[in-house]
Amino acid sequence: MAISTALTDKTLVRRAQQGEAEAFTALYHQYAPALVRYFLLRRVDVTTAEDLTAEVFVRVIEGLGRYRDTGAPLAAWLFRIAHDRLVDHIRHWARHPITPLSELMHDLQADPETLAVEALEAAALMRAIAVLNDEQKLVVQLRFIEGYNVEVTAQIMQKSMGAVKALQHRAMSNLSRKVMQ
Amino acid sequence: MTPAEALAYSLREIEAGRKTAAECAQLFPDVPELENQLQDAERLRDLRAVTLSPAASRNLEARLRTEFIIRYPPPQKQAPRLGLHWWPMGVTMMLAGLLLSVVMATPGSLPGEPLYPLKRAAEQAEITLTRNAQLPTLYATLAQRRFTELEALLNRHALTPKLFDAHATEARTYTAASLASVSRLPTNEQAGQLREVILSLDQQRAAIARMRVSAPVELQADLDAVARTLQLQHATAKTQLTGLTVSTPSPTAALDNPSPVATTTVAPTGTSVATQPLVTAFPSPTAAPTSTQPPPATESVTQLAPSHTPPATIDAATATLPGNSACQAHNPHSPRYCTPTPAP
Repeated sequence: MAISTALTDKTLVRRAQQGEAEAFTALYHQYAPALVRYFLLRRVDVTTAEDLTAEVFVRVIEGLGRYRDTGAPLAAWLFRIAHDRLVDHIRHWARHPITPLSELMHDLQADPETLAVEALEAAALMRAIAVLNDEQKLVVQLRFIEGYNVEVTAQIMQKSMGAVKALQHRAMSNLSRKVMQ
Repeated sequence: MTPAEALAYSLREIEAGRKTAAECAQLFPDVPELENQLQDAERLRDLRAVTLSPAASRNLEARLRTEFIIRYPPPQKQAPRLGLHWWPMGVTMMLAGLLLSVVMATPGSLPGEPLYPLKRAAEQAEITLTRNAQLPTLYATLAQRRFTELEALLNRHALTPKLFDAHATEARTYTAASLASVSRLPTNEQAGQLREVILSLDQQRAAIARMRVSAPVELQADLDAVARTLQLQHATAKTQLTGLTVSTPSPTAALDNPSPVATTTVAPTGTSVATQPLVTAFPSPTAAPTSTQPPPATESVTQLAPSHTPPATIDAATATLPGNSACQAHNPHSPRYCTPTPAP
């Protein structure tokens, strides 16, 4: 994540705290897709992913007045809320649906002409990600899907940079082995 | 270099555009799996396309934006000072008054009718002009108005699932805003407003029950979902009202209030009132939220201030039993206001 994004987030949060709806909307556009992917990668169905993402942002709205910049990326706060929401969801809905990947890909946006090929590849990748543990899933998402660098990923996950490098290696080893199967 | 370090180095080089995956693999022949890992990392980037559809995202954005605006309303405008700047305020007030007159004259307009957009614009003006002390009642009224419109549309066989969803979502958000705005009032004003909100919720539940009888099959599941949400919001409001009927001692009461006040500890109701969520804009399977903000938040959004007044007594004139649907069509600010249903 570039320095400019961090400064943008700080500005947007400050403006949202002052009641500027457009600033909040900008934060939504910035982070909602990543949050939806966070839930989808944990095999939650699309509707539930949408609801959980909404819950995250409702928590953000509720906590915005008390939020203080501690130097950590805003994404750290958001993903922590997302994790808590997911834990609550699983705890209260023990029979959470495991959505077949083909159904998942059909629900999501895709160019219909390329859906077949891309969906197959994406489905294979998501199947491989599904076997990773939660930390490995998160590092894969943050590093390779969302594109955060090692330093920011470490801040979001509250780990050292060395730990993130080791984790990403373990994750990619497991993922590549699964993809090749 | 360990395989983990080789991977990290290669990723840095590829991200900087200095090397390709194949070139990195050649640099580390003793890490045979490296090239596959780098190629998989490249393909993972394509998963950025996995997200909500544009329509779903727009829908979600609109819901959240409404919630944000309700939670952080624009600051109340100060009284205009004489001078060159007073006349825009005066014009605005006149226009708002005109819009309010229009909505008073067209309470029964429904989606699709010519005056309906004016009715909605007047509602927004009403929100802006209403004092904080009356906001909970106003929001509750607006929520109830959406259900009244839905019922009228159903009676005309003009209700579509999309329209139902939009109206139900808006009503849900208004009710959540109503409960949230109650918490911002002084304690001695909360009970009265909560009773109005509960009355409005009773009206909404009654409307849903009536609609279930005549609604088509494809709407029944949506009606059930809305009924569940209303039940949850009703329970939340009642719990809050129960908590207000007995004063709760604040942790800092001894410091805040030098004069001794007789307080009674609230009996636990399963969930602590201080942490009972008021905002239930989106149905959540959880009842008690966990605080996840970085600063250790010890202050709950719903923390009750110590009450210095005697416990509120229920006013027999205003307390009504659920199901008592006295319709006062001439007072649009009352939760008992109902849009005259056109004859079929």
